Amino acid sequence: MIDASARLSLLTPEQVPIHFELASLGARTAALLLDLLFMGAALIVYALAVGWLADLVGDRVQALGGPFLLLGLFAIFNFYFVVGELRGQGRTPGKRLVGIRVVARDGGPLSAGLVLARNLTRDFEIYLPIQVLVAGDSVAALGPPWLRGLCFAWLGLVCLFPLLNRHRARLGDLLAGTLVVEQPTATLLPDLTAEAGADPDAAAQAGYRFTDAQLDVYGIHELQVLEQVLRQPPEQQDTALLDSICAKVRRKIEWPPDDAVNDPRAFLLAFYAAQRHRLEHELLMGRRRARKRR
Amino acid sequence: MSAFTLGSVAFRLEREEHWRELEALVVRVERGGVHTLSTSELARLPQLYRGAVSALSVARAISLDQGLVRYLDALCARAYLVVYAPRRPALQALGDFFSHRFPALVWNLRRPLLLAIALLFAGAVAGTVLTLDDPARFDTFVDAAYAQERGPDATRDELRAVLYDSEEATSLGSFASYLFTHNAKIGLTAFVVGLAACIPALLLMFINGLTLGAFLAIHLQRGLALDLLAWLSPHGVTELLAVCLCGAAGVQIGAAVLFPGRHRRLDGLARAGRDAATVAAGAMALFFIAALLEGFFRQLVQAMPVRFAVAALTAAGWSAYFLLLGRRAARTLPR
Repeated sequence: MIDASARLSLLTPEQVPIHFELASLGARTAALLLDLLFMGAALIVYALAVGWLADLVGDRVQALGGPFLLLGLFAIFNFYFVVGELRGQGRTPGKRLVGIRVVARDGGPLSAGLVLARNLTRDFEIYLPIQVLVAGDSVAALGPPWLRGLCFAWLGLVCLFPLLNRHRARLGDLLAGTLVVEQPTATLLPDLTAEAGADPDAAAQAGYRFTDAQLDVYGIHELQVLEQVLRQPPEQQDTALLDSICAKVRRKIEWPPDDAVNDPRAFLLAFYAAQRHRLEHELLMGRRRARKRR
Repeated sequence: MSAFTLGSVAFRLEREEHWRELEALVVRVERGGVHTLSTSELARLPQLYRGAVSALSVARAISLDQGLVRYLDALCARAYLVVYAPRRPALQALGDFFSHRFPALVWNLRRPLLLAIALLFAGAVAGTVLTLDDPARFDTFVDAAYAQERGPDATRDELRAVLYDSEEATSLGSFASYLFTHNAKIGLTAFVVGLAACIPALLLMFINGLTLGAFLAIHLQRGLALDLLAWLSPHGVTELLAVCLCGAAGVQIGAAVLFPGRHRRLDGLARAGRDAATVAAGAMALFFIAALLEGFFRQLVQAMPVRFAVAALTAAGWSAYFLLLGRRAARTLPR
């Protein structure tokens, strides 16, 4: 399933949903260009190697160079992506560098049939339109103008297909039932409550004690927005932003105005810890408060 | 307000070590493949994965720490792709492909295949009749570059010379590999264009038939029909079968678009596309064999009976392969 924020959601055999971000078209284009570059390099290296070997073995066998060249070039041209995706579990060298990969839409394994289906169409989807762009004249000799127009329209449609659907799928992706997603890379960040002191009593020692009534003002959404702000690395901390949030929270929860706060970040951390404790406790009791009351 | 530590923090502290262990294993597999793991690590991987997945599901229920849930989601996604990746030795997979999967898929594809063959023959008959009627039509049916010196104005001797032409053995390899790449490309096109509701794939079959028929007609007029068939059939049986296979594969994906049946159109297309692409890839092997026959055998052997014998042999071989082996293998194919 694809949701509105371009995330692919799969159900593992353990019945737990996991998520992948769809790769952006920019990343895919970059990966394609890199792969074409590698493929071009492979073609040139192969051609040079065959030529060198043919020179080495002498005239009698030299005639074999031609067929070997042609077959090898055909194989590289048509099967570079197939072999790359099969070997790299959906990651050709270009995709690996950009950090994207191919997955089956239903979460199944990347079988050979699937990889073939999404790559045998490449000739048609990518190389042919490039050919038309580079040497349009030779294709223009195809037939009557209406037929040419039809061909151009069809090629244009095929070429621009990823722009036209929310799966950002190529024609080959549709045919194989695959999607290109970002390689997930999240690192485990330290728990913010550890910074504030794991239990509310420690927060209280820092001089802040919140009542249940004060903690019932905000909901889960606000807590997680606060988490995002607090998680920004120290060099990117926006003190003005922290100040304004701090002031707003204090006004909302009716914190005594005469009680001065020296360090807004420390105050917010303490508030975060107490608030999360309260909300998680409520969650255990089966009360999920998604948003603030007012 | 109670004094105990946060449940979600305790939960994380208990399991964090295992997550980090799993992450390290996953990173190693992603970098260097599964062979980089030792036996004990390999056994540990699914255990750790299951632990992480269940932790993810618990964390979603009890933890409001977004950083934690995001991390677990990503970790499980990566581990899932590693744990449930298919892994078979390449050679074994290749052997299985030709002994089971390919013939079985072709057997399942028999109806569109018969349709493609029928269209090819219909095209051939139409091409023959039309060209006999008016030889000038030959130029319509056959591309000038392909026809070369053969045509409605060619004499009997000129046509005969092409059929019994033997080139120098040294250039035959180039010729064969040219034939292979050329034909394989046509096959791939026939497969892909099927996506447009079958029509282009069917049309391609018919047009190929027309070309064949046009050639047959000009040879018929000069009493060379049998010679042409002898020249054509040793490789033609394999080559035309491969073209028809690609066409049938194209028809299959077109049919999935047109008649989705019980499935969603997108799912049906994906299902048909995988099988069809497998068949098209298998057809590449047929093209390769055909090119060898065309490039070497046809140029080296001139005797008509031998040429026909080879044609009969290939026809019998493919029939047995697809009809007998394919039918049996299709029963074991997981649906």
